[in-house]
Amino acid sequence: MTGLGGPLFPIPTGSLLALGALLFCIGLFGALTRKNLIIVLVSIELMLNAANINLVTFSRLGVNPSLSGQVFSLFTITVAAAEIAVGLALLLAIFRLRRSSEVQDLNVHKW
Amino acid sequence: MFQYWNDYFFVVLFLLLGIFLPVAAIWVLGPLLRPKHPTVAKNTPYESGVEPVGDAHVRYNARYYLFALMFVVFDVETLFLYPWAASFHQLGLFALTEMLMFILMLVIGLAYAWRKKVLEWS
Amino acid sequence: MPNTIDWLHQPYWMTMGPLLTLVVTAFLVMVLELIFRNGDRRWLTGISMLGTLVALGVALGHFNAQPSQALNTVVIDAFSSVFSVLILITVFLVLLFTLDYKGSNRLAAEHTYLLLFAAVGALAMATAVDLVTLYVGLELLSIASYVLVAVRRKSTHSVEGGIKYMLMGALGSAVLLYGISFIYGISGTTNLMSLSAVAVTMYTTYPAITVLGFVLMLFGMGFKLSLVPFHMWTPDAYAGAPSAISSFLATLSKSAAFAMLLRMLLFIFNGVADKVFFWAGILAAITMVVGNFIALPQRNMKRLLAFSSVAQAGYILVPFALIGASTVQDWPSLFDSISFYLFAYTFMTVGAFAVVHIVSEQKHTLDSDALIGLYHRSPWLAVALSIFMLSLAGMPLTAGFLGKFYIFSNTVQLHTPWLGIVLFATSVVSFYYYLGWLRKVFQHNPEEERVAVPISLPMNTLVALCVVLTLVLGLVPATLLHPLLNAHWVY
Repeated sequence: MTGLGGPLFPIPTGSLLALGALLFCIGLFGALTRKNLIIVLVSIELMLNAANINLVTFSRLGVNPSLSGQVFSLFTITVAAAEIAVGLALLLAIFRLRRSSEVQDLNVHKW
Repeated sequence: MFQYWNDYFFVVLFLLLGIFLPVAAIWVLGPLLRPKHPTVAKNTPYESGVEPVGDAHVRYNARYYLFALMFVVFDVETLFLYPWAASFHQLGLFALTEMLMFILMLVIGLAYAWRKKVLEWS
Repeated sequence: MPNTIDWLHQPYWMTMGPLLTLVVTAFLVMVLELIFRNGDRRWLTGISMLGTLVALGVALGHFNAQPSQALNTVVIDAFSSVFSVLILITVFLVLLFTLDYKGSNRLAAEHTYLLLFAAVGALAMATAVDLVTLYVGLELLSIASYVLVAVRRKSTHSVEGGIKYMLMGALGSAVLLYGISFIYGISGTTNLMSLSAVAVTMYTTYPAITVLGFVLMLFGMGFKLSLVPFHMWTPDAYAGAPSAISSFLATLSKSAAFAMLLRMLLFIFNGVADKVFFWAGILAAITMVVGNFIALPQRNMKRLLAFSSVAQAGYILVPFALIGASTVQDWPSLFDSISFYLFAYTFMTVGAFAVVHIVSEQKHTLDSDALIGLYHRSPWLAVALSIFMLSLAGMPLTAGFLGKFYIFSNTVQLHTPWLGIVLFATSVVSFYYYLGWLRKVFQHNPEEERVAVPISLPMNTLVALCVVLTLVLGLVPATLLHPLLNAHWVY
C-alpha cells in the first residue's frame, strides 16, 4: 500500500480522498441548507479546501505523481481568498442596506 | 492490510488520551484540588486590569473588516513569492522579471486602496 | 535555462498578444482613473475601447495563422481565434453600451477596468490549454462579474443580485475544481495536450472516476452557464445589474464558459465521448424545456431576457451533447454550429438589452407594459427590437434562424432526433413570449402622449451595429461561415 509520512504511520491514499469527500459533502450540505450568509461562505471554502486536499494528495500519491498538483493548490488558495474577499465586501454592502445577513432576507427580487 | 489496522491502534490510543487528559484535568482533578472562595471581584471577567465596561457581545466597526480584507488579499499574494524565492537560482532572470511585474500589479492595487481612502481611519 | 536574449525574442509575445494588450490597457485605465478624479470620465471608456480594438486586430491577425503555443499554456488555433474575436467584439459592444451611463446615472468608474479584467479572464478561458490557467481565467471573469453586478452599491436590487451570483458562482467553481482534482489525480497532469493523449487509458483504468470528473466539471460549469437546475441566480442577477452589465453576463461570460467547457471536455474525454457526453444531452433538454416555460409568465423585461438566455444556453448545449454521437469527422460541423450560434446570440442579445435599457430609462420601469406603443414613439427602436426578437425566436432571414437550423440539422445527421424535437418544440413555445413583446410594441395606445424616445449617440450606434450584424449573419451567413469552415480546428 502506498504510504505517506514514513514507515511507522503510512497514511493510505483512500483515507485522504475520503477526508476530501467528507469535507466536500459537509461544505455542500452547509452551503445549501444554512441560513446565515457567512456560514454559507465558510461552507463554500470547505468545498474548495476539499479540492485542495485532493490535489495535494494526488500530487504525492496519484497515478503519476507530479508537482503541478501542489502548484494548482497554491493558485486555488489565492483565488479562493480573492473570492471570499469579494464575498465579504458584498455582504458588508448588503448589511448596510438591509441590516441583516440572513439568506431569507434576500428577497427584493420578485416574479 | 493487517499492518494498516495495526497502525490505526496508535491513532485510536492518541485520540482516547487526547480526550481523557483535558477532561480529567478540567472537570475532575481541578475542582478536587483547588480552593474555592468566590467573591464578587473574583467573578468579574478580566480585562487587562481595567474595570469591565458593557457587554461582550458588541458589534465591531465595519472598518475592521476592510482592514482584514486588505490583509487577507495581500497576505495570500505573498504565497507566490515564497516558492519563487526558494528556487530563485534555478529560475533566473525571466522569473525575476515576472515577479517584478507581479509586484507592480500589487503596488497598483495598494495605490488603489490608498486613493480610495481604505487605509484611513475615520 | 532561458536567458535574456532568448525570451525577449520568443514568438510567444505574439501568441499572447490579445491577452497582453488587454492586461496593459486595463492597468493603464486603472492608474489613469486614480490620477484623474474629477469631471466626466467617460474618456476612460474610450481608451478601453481603443485597447480592445487593438487586441481585436491582433486576434484577427491570428485567424488562419499556423497553430502555435506559448509556454505550454496559451495556444493559437482556430478555436482560440474564433472565440477571442467573439469575446473582444462583445467587450467592445458592452463598453459602447456603458457610455450611455452618465450624469446622475453614472456607474462607479471601476466598471471600465473590471470589464477589461473580466475580458482578460475570458480570453484566457478561450486560449489556454492548461487546467490551472483555465481555472484562474474563469475565476478572474467570475470575480470581476460579481463586483460588476453589484456596481450600484447603494441599490438593494443590485447588491442582492451580486450576492446571489457570487454564492452560486463560488459553489459552481468549487464543484468544478473538485472534478478537475479527480481528473488530475488519475492522469497526473493538468496540461490538456498531455491529458488528451492519456484519455482512453484513463477511462479504461478508472471508468467511475472519469465519469465522476466529467459530471462534476459539467455541473460546475453549469452554474456559470446558468443551465437548469443551476440557473437560480440568473434572473435576479440580470434584473439587479445595470442593463449594460446584464448584457455582458448574458453574452460574454456565456461565450467564454462555452469555449472553456468545449476545450476542456473535448481534450480530456476525446477518446470516450460516447460514454460520457449523454449527460450534456440531458442537461440541454431540461434547460430548453424549463427555461422556455418559466419565461412565459414573466412581466419584467430583464427577467424575461434572463430566462430567454437560459433557454438559449440549452440550444447551444445541444451540439455538445452530439459530440457523444459523432466521430472526429463530424466535429468541425458541430463547432461551426456552436460558434455561429454564439455569434448570432451575442448580437441579438446585446441589441435586445440595449432597447430594453432605452425604453426602461424613459419609462422608469422594467415592466414589459413600457413597450406598449413603442412603434408610435420610436419606429426605429420598434423595428430594431422586432429584428432582435424574431432572431431570438428563430424566424427565417435572421441569424437566430440559421443558428437553430444548423444545430437542428446536426441532430438529424447524427441520429439523435429526440434532441432535435425538443429544440423545435421549445422554440415554438418561445414564440409566445418573444412575439408577445412585438404585439405590445405595435399596439396602439391612445392615452399615450407621443413623446419621442430620447436615444443617445452611443446607444444609437450600438443598436445599429447589432441590427446590421444580426441581419448580415442571417442574410449572408457565408461572411462568418466561410472563415469558420476554412479554420484549422486542432484537437
